[in-house]
Amino acid sequence: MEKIPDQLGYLILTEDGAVLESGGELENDERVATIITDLISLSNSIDPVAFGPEEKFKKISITYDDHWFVICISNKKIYVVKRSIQSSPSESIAVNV
Amino acid sequence: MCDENIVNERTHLLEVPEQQQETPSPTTCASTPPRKPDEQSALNRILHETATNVIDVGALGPYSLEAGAYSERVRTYSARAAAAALPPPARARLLADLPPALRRALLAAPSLAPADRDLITNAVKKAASAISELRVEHHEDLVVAFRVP
Repeated sequence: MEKIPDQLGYLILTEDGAVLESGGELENDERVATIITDLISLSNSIDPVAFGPEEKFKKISITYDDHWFVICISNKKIYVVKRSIQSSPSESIAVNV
Repeated sequence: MCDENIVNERTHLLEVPEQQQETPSPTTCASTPPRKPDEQSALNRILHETATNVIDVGALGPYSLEAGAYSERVRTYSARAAAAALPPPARARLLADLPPALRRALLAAPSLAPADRDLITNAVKKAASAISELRVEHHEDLVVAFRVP
């Protein structure tokens, strides 16, 4: 698979969650593969009233403080890339409730 | 008896002969003194109704459709069944299947902006706390006395 900037690891899965290719920090990571597959199944069962009739999403991203995952589907395969975040001290305002 | 010109899916498969079914012969009843005539006539009526409504398949005798009528009915039934069959529902998928060119661009795209991430996190925190504060306020009794003197 093509090299993605800041890439830490990647996974290519079948639609059922079987690992086709893997590399970097995600090499042979069946655990993450299962989690991602379950996440996609979960997203498929979201109540359709929440979205427009033919509204489709292009990617799912899971963002942590120092790294993030980008997930998309292409040619009936699930692509997962773990990328690092060059974190600069952010001036974010966190609301504590 | 209505004339059925059109053979469709509602055409009866078995032609029920409109014949008078034999009720129990009145000779047996005549020998016994009619102590309860109403009961006897009621029983006879029920028996007669059952006999006329029941389709005795065994008593119909040899029955067969003509070859032409049979194949025509097969055709009619198949056409109706095919028209009624629904296409298999497409599996609900939230993520679209992307062409390879779009995939490359998408995977390489920059990450979520920190401001957006904080917006989402704070909004969800507020929503979660609001939902957790849902309460039921008890005003009236659920169980009420109804028509109790």
